[in-house]
Amino acid sequence: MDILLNNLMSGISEIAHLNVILCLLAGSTLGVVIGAIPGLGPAVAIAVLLPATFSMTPLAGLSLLLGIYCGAWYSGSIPAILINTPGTPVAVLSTYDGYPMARQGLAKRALGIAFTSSFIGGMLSVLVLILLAGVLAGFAKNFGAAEFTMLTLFGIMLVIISSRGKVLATSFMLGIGLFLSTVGLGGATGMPRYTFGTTALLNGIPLVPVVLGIFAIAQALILIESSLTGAATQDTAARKKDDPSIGNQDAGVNWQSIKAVFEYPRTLLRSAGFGVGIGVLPGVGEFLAQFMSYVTAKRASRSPETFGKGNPEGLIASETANNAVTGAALVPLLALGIPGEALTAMMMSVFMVHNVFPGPRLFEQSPELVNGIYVSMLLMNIFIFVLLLSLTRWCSLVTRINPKVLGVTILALAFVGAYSVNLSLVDVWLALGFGVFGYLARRLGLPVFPLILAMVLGPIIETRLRQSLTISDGSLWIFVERPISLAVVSIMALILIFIASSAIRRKCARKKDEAGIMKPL
Amino acid sequence: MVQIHSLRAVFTGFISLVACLLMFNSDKVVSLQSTETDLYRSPVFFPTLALAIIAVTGIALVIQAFKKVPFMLDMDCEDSSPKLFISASLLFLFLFYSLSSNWIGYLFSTLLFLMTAFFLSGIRSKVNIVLSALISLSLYAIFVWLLDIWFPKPWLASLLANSN
Repeated sequence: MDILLNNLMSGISEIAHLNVILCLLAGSTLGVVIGAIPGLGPAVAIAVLLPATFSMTPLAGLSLLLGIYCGAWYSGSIPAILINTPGTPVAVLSTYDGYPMARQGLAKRALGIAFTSSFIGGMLSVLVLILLAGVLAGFAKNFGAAEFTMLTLFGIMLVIISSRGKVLATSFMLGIGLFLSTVGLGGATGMPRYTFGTTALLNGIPLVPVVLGIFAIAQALILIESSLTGAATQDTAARKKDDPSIGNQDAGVNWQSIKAVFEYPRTLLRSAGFGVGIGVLPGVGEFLAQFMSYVTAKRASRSPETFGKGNPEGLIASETANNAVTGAALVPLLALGIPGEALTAMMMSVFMVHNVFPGPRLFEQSPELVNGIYVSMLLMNIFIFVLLLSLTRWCSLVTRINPKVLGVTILALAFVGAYSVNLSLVDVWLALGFGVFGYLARRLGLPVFPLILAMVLGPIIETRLRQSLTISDGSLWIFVERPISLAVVSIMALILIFIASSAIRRKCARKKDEAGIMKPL
Repeated sequence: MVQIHSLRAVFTGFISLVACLLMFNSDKVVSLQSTETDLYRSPVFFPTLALAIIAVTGIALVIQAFKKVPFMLDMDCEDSSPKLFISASLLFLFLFYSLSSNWIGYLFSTLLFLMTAFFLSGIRSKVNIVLSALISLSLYAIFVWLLDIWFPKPWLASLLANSN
């Protein structure tokens, strides 16, 4: 307990600088606004602001990006509840019960429940981060190259498995990301690889232009296209007409709704448990957490038939779970130096620019930074909650911004964002190239998030793999000779066996069904 | 949907082909001056693994596309249909924007870019001019004054100064 309090005190002294506080407040506010705009999402905002954080202190830069990350997760529920369009993809399940509540004239109550559930999920996940990250980092001191190689591969395996129905496409994009990470001077020999004689590529393909191209430029084009198709504008216009809660005082918060959340303590704790438990695993993410939480809440409910028709329990389950992921997702990044998903992978570059390397040593070398991140996350959760309670009515206006204006502004921001990293137009052209790639990939149903994750994980896997094989003189036995590495390999094998057996069982059941149908004929 | 399957096959097939070409010509695109004989010490060891993943999964995706195996698009893409002419025009405009910033300076190139992009997107009234002016001035204030990002002196301005 004393250690915890000391950590918090040290974090408070770290955060008590004007620039850090300003970044925290600006990031959180921006995150709330961005989350409330359907189609934008935190990835675009983080991509655009990433270069600006490089000139800040690591804590200030991270506070800005974490503010956007957390803020967007909170406010994604505003359009989900008011106009049945999730602001961020993770708020999809919030539309199931949030929008019917708004249609019943309970918009205030729905918003209050969503914000309070998100706040509880967010705070619990930060507590787990504080308690777990240090312990895991202490344990990870015993890890060698073999353990890190296996853990990173485990993360990649989870990313592939969790992309149900897109396993091949995800592996394809992971492969591209891994390959892109090898371009430039590298390998044990330090020889140029795949630079084709250009000096601009000697330092490798920088992450920022890739992120800007794939997220900002591609998303801007899709936003503009959607507004020209008429889908977005017609949809919003129809709902504005249809929904009495938009733009009037009904969009404020009903204080009674805050109390209502505590009428479902089991759902609240169970959903937070799902969010935190699944959020800690690299690559699995908030979708699974939210889905499992919602399904379990429905099964455990006394009135499951009202789920999807405006049951507050459903809203609590989805909002608590998706916000409980935010803090937990930082555990593998801080403790092991392995980002679990694309957004935390982008944040890793803020550490790298300042020569700070996340992982077990971070807790010994820069404990003040780690404590600062903890306090920053606690404060931003409180700030976002208060902000949303007081300004919800105005946040709902953000959902009315014209997608064309947004799209064109994002393009202009992408230009200056890419240029500002190295003050070079080459980065802008790289961003443009990746913008074309990202646009085509998204239009053709190929997921782009794994590419970014693989670009960040690539150098870690390559270095650790080579170190392991050098130690073992090229023998792969090193991965099963060491107990921790063997444990990770066993878990991976068990998961694969489980997936294969359930796939075979499903196939057999389908064959039986088909045979059953055929018999009467 | 038939068209999208063919395009997906072409896209993944092309990348897969490039991966195969790079894989089998590694000695030509990577400087292999090392005397190391062990495979895992070679600078092409890890890239070859990555290229193999791209090649194999790419071919599998092509086969899937030919078999017309259904796939899911993300939410934004499902809600809208592609407008290739507009997107291509905006991408060319973006390229021209990056080049013109050297010629006429960041502020004016941003203003021109925004005005043209808004025009292409269908915002053609006075709102276009007002929005473009406001956004370009805001961006200039934030990035040039506040964040102190340096942009090259406009080539046209120095040319005019020299002629005077």
